[in-house]
Amino acid sequence: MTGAALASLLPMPVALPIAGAVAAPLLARVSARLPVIAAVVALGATAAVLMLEAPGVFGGRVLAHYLGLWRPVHGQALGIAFAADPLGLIFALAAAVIGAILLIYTLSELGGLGPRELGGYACLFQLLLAALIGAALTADLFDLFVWFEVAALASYGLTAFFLERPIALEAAFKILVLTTLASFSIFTGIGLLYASHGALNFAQLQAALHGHVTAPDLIALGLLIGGFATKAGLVPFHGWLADAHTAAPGPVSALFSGLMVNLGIVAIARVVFGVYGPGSAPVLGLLLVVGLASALLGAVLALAQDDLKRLLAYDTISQMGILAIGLSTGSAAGIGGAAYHLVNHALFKSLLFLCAGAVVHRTGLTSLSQLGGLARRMPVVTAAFVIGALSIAGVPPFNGYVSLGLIHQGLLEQHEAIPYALMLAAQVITIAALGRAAWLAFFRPRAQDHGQLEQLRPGMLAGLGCLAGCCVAFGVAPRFFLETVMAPAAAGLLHPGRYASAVLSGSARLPLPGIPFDYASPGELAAAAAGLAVAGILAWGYLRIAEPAAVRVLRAAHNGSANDYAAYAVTGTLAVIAAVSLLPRLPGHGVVSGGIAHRASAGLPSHGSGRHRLGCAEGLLHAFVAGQPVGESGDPQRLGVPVAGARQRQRSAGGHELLPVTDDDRQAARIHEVDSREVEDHPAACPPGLCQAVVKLPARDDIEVTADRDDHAIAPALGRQPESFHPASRRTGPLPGAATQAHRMPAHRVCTRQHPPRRGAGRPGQGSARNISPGRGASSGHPLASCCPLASCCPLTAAQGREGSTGHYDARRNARR
Amino acid sequence: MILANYLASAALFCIGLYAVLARRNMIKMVMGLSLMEGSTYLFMISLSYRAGSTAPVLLNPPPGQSTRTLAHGNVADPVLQNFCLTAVVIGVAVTAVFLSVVVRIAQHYRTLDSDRVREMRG
Amino acid sequence: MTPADGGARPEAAEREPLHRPRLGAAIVIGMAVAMTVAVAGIPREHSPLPAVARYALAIALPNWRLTEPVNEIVYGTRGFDTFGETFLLLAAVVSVIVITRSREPRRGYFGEETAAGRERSESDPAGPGDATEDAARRAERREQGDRPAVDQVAPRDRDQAALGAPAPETADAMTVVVRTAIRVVLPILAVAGLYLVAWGYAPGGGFPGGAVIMGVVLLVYAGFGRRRIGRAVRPALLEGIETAGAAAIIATGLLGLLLRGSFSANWLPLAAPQTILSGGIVQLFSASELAEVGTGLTIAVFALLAMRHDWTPDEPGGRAGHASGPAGQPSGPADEPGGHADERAGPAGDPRDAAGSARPGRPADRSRP
Repeated sequence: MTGAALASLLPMPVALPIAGAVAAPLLARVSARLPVIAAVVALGATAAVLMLEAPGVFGGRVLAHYLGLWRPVHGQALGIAFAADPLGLIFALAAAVIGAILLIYTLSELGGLGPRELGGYACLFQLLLAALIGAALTADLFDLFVWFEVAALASYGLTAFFLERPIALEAAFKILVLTTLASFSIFTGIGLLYASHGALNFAQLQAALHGHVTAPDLIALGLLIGGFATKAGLVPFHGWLADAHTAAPGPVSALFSGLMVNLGIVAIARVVFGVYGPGSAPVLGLLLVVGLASALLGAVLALAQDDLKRLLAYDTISQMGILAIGLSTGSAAGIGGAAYHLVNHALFKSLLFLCAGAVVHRTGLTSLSQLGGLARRMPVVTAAFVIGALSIAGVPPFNGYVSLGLIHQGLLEQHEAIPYALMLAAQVITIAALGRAAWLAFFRPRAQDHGQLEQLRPGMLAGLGCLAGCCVAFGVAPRFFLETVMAPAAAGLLHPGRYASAVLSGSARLPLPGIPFDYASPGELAAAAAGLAVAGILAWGYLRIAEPAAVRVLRAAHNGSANDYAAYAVTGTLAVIAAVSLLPRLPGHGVVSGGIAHRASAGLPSHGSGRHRLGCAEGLLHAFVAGQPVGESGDPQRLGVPVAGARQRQRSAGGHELLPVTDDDRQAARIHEVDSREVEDHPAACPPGLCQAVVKLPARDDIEVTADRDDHAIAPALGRQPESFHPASRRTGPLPGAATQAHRMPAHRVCTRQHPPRRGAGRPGQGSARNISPGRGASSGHPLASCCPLASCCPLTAAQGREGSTGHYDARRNARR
Repeated sequence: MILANYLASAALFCIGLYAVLARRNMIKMVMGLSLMEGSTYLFMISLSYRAGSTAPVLLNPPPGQSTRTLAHGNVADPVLQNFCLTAVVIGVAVTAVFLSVVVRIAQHYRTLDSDRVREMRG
Repeated sequence: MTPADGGARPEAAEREPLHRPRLGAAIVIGMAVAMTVAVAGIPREHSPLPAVARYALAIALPNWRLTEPVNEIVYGTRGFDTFGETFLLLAAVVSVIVITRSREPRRGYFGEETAAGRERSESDPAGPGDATEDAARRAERREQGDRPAVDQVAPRDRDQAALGAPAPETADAMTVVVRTAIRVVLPILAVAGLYLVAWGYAPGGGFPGGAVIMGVVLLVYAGFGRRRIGRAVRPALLEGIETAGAAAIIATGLLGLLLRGSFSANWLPLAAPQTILSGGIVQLFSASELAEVGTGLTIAVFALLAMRHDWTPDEPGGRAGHASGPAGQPSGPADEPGGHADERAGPAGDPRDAAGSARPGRPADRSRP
């Protein structure tokens, strides 16, 4: 199947569960369980369609499709774009598969419900899953909002499902108030962005925002983050989460905790990385602070809980904090770890909630002080709970070890010791909380016996077994999952320019970062062991001491009043707005992918790291376009940064701005990345006086320039003498993951104005720079000749070869092979 | 696109927000949220207005304009009207669910005071 | 506020205490500042239309043959948003149905029910209700038709005797003025609702059309009562129409995918402008939306009206809930199934199941903690 056909199938994973949801009330009249069975079938079909897309997308592409074929015109998109990038696809797949598992579990545990109840349950469950999949795959801000609302409405009905429980209705009220406040702030944010920029498409917004972020845009960013953080359950927007996840039925709590709150984090990642870019506002630092606060508060409150499901809900808050910490590192390891943890969290939290739901369903008891001794009577549930707890703890054979280890690696790469220590503290407290829960609920000997409780029904066994098996599988095969799934997911976030180009043009390749993960690293193993030991002591101690004053204060702050929780959420939104708009952009953090038309400031010495980092480059980065052969059409434009040596022959241009370049399709396009991976070091590849694009850098921003695979020096010219540097880490060898690919260069290249005419009788380029994409009907020999007014002057035309490829690049490619 | 409208919608939003934060009666909280919804409708519609524009309807264009000139002329923004329609539907849906939840809470807790509906704490 | 209460006026409700008013005011002022800064910075009425809006206007006639760009955007170019919104409304309607449902018999043991009984006793411990609560409960039972109004305490002083029937009033019929007016207006409104949808080249569309249809149904209910509307508003029929509308919307999208290669693409031939069929799938989508929205909102409203008191004990302390709602199956508090007064025994019984099917129960041999 061609890429375009695959991309056009993208709405199907949304439409299939919706079809199942529409059929559910009718099927309920026939038989009680039929809607749930139909739902499992629908989700299976959804997973199948997503797996069709998986090989292409996980190989490092982003597939985009415009619904109704209303493609963008001049870069302005009216139609709704659906873009499958690896992060969205893995989230959608997790939603489909885990949703199917939860429905199979429902068949056995909740199959005794009345027909209309079960039909309504199946309908709402599928609508929620369809909304999660839709929100993960969409590339349109308003469409994201609509699916967010569908998920919210379905969640209200599911929270209040057991109407005989008063807490269900109380929880429904609180989730209603807080989620409605969140949806208003998101809606207002979208309105502000549309009013300022006339754009709803992520790519178009990114182009409009890049470098021109004004006060209303920052306030809109604050409102959007506040709204999505409420959905994600980050502190202080979390008031509804503990109540709703406690009161909902077992599989529904698993769905909420495992998948629905993750949607908030995915949406934040999209907005922060994909639309605004982490350099436009001090947003990564904000995410770090919020993440740490959530991790610690969730863990401490989990330790203090008496209700089993409420404990797990607070642990969800803590894990969402850890996801936010992973995202805030801005590095491949951190973001890859966050993506990995997203999937892991879906698995182990669903497992834990299914166990807790089974306990409540069978015994009718919810509080740890009344439970006890279940291990003898419910051995399978106990085993599943222990597996889940060990997964969260980050113990080696299970999946938490890998994802937490990756996030630790990301933090340490950024030299952030205090957040690392705080995160470890939160992890230790989490382990203690779960250990305490396991002891009190399952292993503690109890005076009276529960009697024969466990009737193993096949659906329940299947559900618990699948999830536990996946926890183990994701833990013992980390390299496979890292390379095939998580590294592309990180690439999608780290290269928003590529994502944007894909959305505007249909597909694009993502450069896959290599994420090394040392499974047996002694530091991680020691940390895990020490964490377990300290947690054990903490749990043992907590069982004996009285509640400390700090914990009592925290618990008193969660007084259950909807007004107070709303006040916390709105105060949090105001704090986020203030932080985003008033704090200066902090240097040394984050990745600026491509610095288009920003102004640079006083320089700081660059510090070596895994990727080449120029801190606060001064002056102008002159990036010279090396001779670039024709590659796959539709790939984004790139600039090659040449190596030292070739540079010295260049003349630097004066202060020029890189203008938006237009295709021969007359689509406004921008340079999205400064990517030196395909740098030429062959002198012939950089003929003197070739086209240069001048990119100004923002004040105190970092730029990131990736090295090419042969450890060539990167020599960005800083307005003066170019300087080259060899970061020490590059000595270890070529970039992993890039070794065997033949680098195919994109079709576009850039010429700027003020280009001194070198050959021919061309006049100096006047007007805007041109982005030329050959192969779009250009039939004459050279692609440039047909559309670039500078063609006559640009020496590239001479250097470019025939049939759409350059001679020297072919030579180089051949030489590499 | 009128500053006075924008400020009015912001004021309504804040009045509704105050009702949600400070009122204990649950029905009044729902009313506050409805007021916030209404303010977003006003905001969207005000955003779509342009000075001296006519409605973006090509049927029976005003005298002196054909449908073609109207499509390229001074009209209000139809995309924001789409947003507003969606927001209205969301508002209806949420209010319906809200009120049914409030009635059920009244049946259980026999009060509409959100300070007395606080079984889950800590 | 009944005179039977001995003249106690609930004026305290007018001066209910606010919940942390100063903190609320501070937060609101902060939000007002943020929003003012935001709206002061966005473009105002002299800025040009965004390119996407201009594009939508430009393609309305040539590509869709529609003279109504808003309909073209809502149901055509950005039709997938409306697709999502339709199912948003469906989710809301199903949520309302789930929240307002009455009890159904369940099979098997549900620990949630045990937990529910415990939570109910904790949240609402048995105690003497106050006078207003008793009056409210009596009024509700009277409304539901099971008891005659015999609970009036005779006032000590004749001057305090109530005028007319005690509140709340259960009017059986509206006055003749209302009924005639409804009879006259109803056909006009119904046609107006269909007109909004059918003439797709004029402003309108499925959502307002559906709302008007719902208004028509509610007018008949309010004016003529439940019996007149009961024949038309049957749950099975309404749900069938709603499902049909939703299925048509999904099918419209899928056919676009099959026939034209993209999910919301137009696969119907475009008729001439300013005719009923002029928009292609816009009209189809709009008509299905009318069916779905109209019936969905009607179901939601009637579900709310028909909410019973099944899930909670009417009296504090765990006695079973009262019977009837519009289905009219009387049973009084004395009808409570025996043995369920003990709330630890689990769910309140379900004595009102019209089909008389088995009571939800647990097998007697199941032991529980």
